[in-house]
Amino acid sequence: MSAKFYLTPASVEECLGYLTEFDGKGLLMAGGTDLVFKLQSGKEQAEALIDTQGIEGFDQLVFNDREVVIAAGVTHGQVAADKRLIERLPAIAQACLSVGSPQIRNVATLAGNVVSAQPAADSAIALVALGAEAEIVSAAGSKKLRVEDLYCGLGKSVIDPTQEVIFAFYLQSPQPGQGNAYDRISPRNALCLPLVNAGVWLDSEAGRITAARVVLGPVADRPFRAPEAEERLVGAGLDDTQAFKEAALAAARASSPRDSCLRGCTDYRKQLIKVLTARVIARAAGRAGGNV
Amino acid sequence: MLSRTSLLNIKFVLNGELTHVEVAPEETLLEVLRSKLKITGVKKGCGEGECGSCTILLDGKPVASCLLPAAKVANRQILTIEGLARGQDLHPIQEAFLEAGAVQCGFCTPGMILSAKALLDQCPAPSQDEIRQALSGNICRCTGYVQIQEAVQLAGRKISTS
Amino acid sequence: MTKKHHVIGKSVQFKGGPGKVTGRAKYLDDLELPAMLHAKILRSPHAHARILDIDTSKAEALPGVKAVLTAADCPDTRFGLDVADATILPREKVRYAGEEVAAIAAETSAIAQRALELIRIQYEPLPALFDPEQSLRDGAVLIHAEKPGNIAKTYEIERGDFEKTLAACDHVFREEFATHRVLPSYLEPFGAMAQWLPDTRLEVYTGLQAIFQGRAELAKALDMDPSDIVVKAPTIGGAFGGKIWIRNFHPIVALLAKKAGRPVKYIMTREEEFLASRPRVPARIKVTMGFLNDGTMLCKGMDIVTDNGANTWAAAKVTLNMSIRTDCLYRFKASRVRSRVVYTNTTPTSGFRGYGNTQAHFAMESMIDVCCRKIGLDPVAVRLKNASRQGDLTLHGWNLRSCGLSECIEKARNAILEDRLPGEEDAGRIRRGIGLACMNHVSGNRGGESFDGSSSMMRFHEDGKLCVFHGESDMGQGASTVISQIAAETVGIPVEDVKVMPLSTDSSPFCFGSYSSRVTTVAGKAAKLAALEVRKQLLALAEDHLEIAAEDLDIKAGKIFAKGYEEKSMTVAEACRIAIRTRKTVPLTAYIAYDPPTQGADENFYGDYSSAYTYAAQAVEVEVDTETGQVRLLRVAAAHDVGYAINPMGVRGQIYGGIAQGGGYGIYENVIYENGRLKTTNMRHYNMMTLSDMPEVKSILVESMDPIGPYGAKGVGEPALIPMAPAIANAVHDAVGVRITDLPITAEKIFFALYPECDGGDL
Repeated sequence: MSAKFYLTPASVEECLGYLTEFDGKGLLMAGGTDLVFKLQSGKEQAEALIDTQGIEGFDQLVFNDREVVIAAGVTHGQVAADKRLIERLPAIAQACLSVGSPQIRNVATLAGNVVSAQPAADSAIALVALGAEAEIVSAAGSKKLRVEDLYCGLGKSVIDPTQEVIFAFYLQSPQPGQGNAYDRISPRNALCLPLVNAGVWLDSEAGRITAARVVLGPVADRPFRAPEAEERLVGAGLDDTQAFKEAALAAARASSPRDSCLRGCTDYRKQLIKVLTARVIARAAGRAGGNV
Repeated sequence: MLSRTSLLNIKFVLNGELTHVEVAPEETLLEVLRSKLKITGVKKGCGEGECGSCTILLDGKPVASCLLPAAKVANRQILTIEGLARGQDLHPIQEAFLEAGAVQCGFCTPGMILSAKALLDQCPAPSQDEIRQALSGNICRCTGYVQIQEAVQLAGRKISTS
Repeated sequence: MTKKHHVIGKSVQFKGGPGKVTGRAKYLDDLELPAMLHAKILRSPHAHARILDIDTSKAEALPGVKAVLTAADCPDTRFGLDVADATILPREKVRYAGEEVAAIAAETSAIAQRALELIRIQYEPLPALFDPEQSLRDGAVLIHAEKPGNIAKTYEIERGDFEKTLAACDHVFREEFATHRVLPSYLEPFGAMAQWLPDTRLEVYTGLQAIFQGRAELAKALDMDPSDIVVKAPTIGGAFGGKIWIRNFHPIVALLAKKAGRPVKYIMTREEEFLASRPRVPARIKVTMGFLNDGTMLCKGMDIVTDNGANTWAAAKVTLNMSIRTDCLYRFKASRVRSRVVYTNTTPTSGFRGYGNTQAHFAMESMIDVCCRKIGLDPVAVRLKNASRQGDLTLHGWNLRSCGLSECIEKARNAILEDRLPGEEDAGRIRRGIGLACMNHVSGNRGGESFDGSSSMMRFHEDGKLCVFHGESDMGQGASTVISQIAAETVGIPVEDVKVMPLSTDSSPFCFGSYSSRVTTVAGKAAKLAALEVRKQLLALAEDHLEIAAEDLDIKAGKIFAKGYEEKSMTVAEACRIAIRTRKTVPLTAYIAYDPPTQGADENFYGDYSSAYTYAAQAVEVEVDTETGQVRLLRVAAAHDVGYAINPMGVRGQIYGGIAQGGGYGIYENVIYENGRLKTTNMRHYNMMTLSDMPEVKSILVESMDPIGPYGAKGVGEPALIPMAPAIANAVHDAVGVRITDLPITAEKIFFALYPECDGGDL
C-alpha cells in the first residue's frame, strides 16, 4: 500500500501536528535515501510522508565556543565540507566524508542515519564518540538523549519516527587538550560499507589522558563503546603507543563481530578492530597534544 | 503548503524551464523524469543509489534521482544531461568527453558529465584527487576511468579559455 | 610505420558519441511501443525442487494483467548452444535459485509485480549441489537425468608425448589454483521488447552482442524459422560477453506478447542481474609444469573442473578454451589436459571477457612465477626465453603469423621498473612489490567447418555519403568507428562521410557477433574488402567521366583526381550523383561475405583456427598493508600487441577498461553464496572498481602488423583484462612473500597467510 500524502511542514509545530493527526501512520523523512528504498521494497509503509527538509532551522550548522549544533536537516556533505569541523572536529567531518558517494552525501542527513540505526553508520559512530546529544521533540514535549542511548536493537531506534522528530544534535565545542579522530577500513575507496570503523575522542591534561570514548562498528547491534579500552587509556600519556595498542586489543577482545561472508570472518574482523582502533587512538592523541 | 491529495501538483525548474507535473508521494524523481516527462537521458542502472547512472544536479549539487522522492524537488532547480547543450552547441564538458575518448557505451555518461559539471562549477582547475573524490560515486564499467579523468581536466581548460 | 594513412591510425572520435553525451541515444528502456505491456518474471526460490503445482488463477484475475505464462504455454523445445539443455520454462523441476518459473505481462510494472506475488507454486525441494566436488561424488543427485555423473562435457587432449617429456624434465612442479564467480555487471540491465508484426513475424528489440546467433537460438526456442524473426539492437549499455547469447526471457517476452496480443517489454532489475545473469565460469585448475635447469619450459599438464551451473550455455566452450589456449603462449614441447564441465544447482555460468583464457592464465602465469622462484630463476627472463614467436607453429597447430609477445614483455617490464616506488614505507608496515603476467588470445576462432568471418554491405548515396551495414554489435567498444575508419581510409573519403546503419537482422548482412575479440580483425577486413569494391566502381565511373585510366586515378578526402595532376578531378559526391541519378546507373554498392583463410580446429581441437593471435604483458606494482592484508593497486604498465592500432584512443580505452575489470577480478569482485543463498544482491556488496581505486596506467601499443588483419590490425578487447589477476598475484608475492592461489586475492586471505597463528587463535 503506497502513501497517500506528502507533507512539507514549515515548522516543528506543524510537523508535530501532522504526526499527531496521522497517529502512527505518518512517517518522517529527511533526505529520503534510506526511506525511498524501504518504501519501494515494502519494508516500510506509511499513509503520509512528512518531509522535514523545509522545517525552519533544520539546515543550521552552528559552531561557537560553547557548543556545536548540527540541526536535523544537515547533510553529510555539509558537514564534510565545513572547514571549522574539518579542523576542530575532524572525527565527524571524516566520518561524513566516508559515507557512500557525493550523491548520497548531498542528500543523506545525520539525523536520518541515526534513526535508521545501522551499527556501522559512519556519522553515528562519530557522534557517539564525540558524546553528542540529540534533542528529540514530540507532542509530549522535548528531551535530550545521548545518541549512544538511541539504539535498542539491530536497525531499531529508540526514536519512533511516527511520533518523534530529532531537532538537532548538540556537541561539546572542542577544548584545548582534546583530540578526536575517525577512520574506517573498507574493501574499496568509495560507495562502500565499512568492514570496521572507529571513532575516538580523548580529553587530556598535562599530557595525560583524563577521559576517553572509543566507539566501534559494526561489531554489535549498535555503535559499540568499548569501556575496557577507554579505561586502559585513562591515565596514559599522549605518546604512550603501548597503551594505545593494549586499549585496541581490549576493544577487539570485547567486540563480537559475526562471521560474515561479506565482511570477513570473526577472527579477521577482530584483527582489523585491533589495528584500526590503535591507529585512530594514536591520531586522536596526536591531535590532543596539539599535533595535527 | 502542498495540498493533501494522493497526487501532488509540483512545479520546479527543469533544464531552465518551469515545469509542472503530478507526482505520487512515493514516486522517485527518476521515475517521474523518465516516465512522465520523457527525460530519458537520466538512466536507471541499479535503482539503489549505488552506481551513479541516475545522477542529476539538484540546485547545482549531484544527487541520485533513484533515491529522491519527486515531491522533494518542488520549487527547486534540476539539471539533467538534456539541459547542458545549447541547441546544437555542445557544452565544453560534452566536447571534452568526446575528444578524450571518455565515452564508450555511454550509459554512465550523463551522470558522469553532471558530476563533472558540479565539480568544475566549484573548482575550475581540479587536481587529480579532487576529480577522484567528485566522480567516485559514478561507476563506469567500460572505460577504466583514465580517459574520463583526462576529459574533466580538458573540460576545465576549455571552460577557462572560453 | 612507413605508409601514411589519413584516417586509420588516428584517434578519431567514436561514432554515436554526440548522442550519448547529450542523452539522446536510446537504450532499450528508453524505447516504447504503443499499447506496450510490462513483464515481470517469477523466479524459483529453491536451488533444486520438483514443481508439483502452479496456480496462476489469482494472478490472472488481477485487473491490469494481460497475460500469464507457465511451461504449459510454451513449446516443448530445447535450445542453448552445443549442449542444448535449456527449456523456456521448466515443466518438472527447477534447477537453480533464480530460475524463471512463470511470467506476467501487465499494464504497469507495479501491477505485474503484484501479480507475481499472487502466483502460488508448490515445490518439493530436492537435495541441491552447490560445488562441482559435491556433484561429482558417487551417488550425488542427478541434476539432468540424462547426464550421468552430472558431467555436461569432457575434454581429453594430449599433444606430443606428455609422460615422456615430463620424465625428461629437471624439475616438475604441481600446484592447484581456483577461480571464482564474477559478473560482467554492465551498467545497462539486460532486457527485451517484443511485438508480433501484422505479417505474423516477430520483432524483438534487445541489446544482443550477436543478433544473428540470437535470432537463431530464439527461433529454436520458439520453433520458428529464423527469417520470421527480426532482431534489432538499440544502443547497448555495455556487455562484455554477458549479452552474447539469449536468455530465457527472450522467448518468454515473445510468448507473453503473443498471448496478450500487445508489445511487451522486460528489463532485469539489478537484483535479478545479480541473481540470474550468467557469471564467469569458476574453475579448479591443477597444473603440472616441467622445466629444465636452464629455464626451458618443456611441458604443461592441467586437470580442470569447471562449474557449469544448472544449464549449459558457454561453459563448455569456455572450458575448451581454458584447456588449450595457454599451451600456445610458450614453446612447450608437450601438453596434456583433462577437463570436466560439471553441473551444479547454481545460475548457469557462461562467457565473460576472456572466455576461459582469463581463468587459465591466472593458473599458468601464477604457476610460472611459483616454479621460477623454486628453481631460482627470474620469471620475466624465463618468459622471454620460452615466448612464442612469429612464424611458430604451436602445439595445437596455430600458425603465428604475427607475434609481438617478447616486445610486450620487455616493454611492460621496463615501464614498470621506471618510476618504481620505494619498496617499503612506514617502517615496513607498507610493503610494495612488482609482478608481471602475459597472455595470448584469439581474434575470432573456427570450429570445424563453421563460418568465422564477417559480412559488410556498403552503398553510396547520391550526396557522396557512404552507408555501411554490418551485423556486429557496437556495445561501446567502437566497432562502428573502426569499421568507418577502415571504410573511409580504403575509399579515400573523410570519416565523417561514413554513416553506420542501425543493426537489424532484416537489413544487416549476416555476422556472428561481437565476441572473441574478432570484430576489428574480421569485420574490419570485410569492410575493407567491401570498400575496395565500391572504390573500384567509383574509379571506373571516374575513368569514364575524366577520360583517365583508373589506375592513374586516386581518391583522397572525397576527391577523385589524376595522380600527379590534381586539377583533373571530380568529387566523390559528383560521381555518386552521376552514378545514381543519371542513366549511367552504377549501383555503387558492395556486399562482401568474408571468411579468413584459416584451417579451423578439427574434432581433436587441432588446427589453425583464428585469423590472428594477440599477445600482451601487464606488469603491476602493488602495496600491501601488512597490518591488515589490504592490497592497493598503484601502477600498471600494459603492453599490447594489437597488430596495428586503427584507433589508438579506442585501443587505450579497451586497455584501461580491461585493467579496471581485471583489478576487480583479482581483488574486489566476488559473487558470494552462503549455503546456496546469494549474498551479493546489489552493487553495494559487489565491488567494481571506482575511479578512486584505479591505479596509474602506462599503456604501450606494440604493432606486429598481422598479414591477414585489415591494415595489420587484430583484437584487444579481451586481452586487456586477462593478465591482471596473475600479475597482481605475482606482485603480492613479491611484496610480502605470500602466494594466493584462489581468487579473489582478499585482504583476509593475505592476512592469514602472513599470520597463520592468528587463524582461530587468540588476538
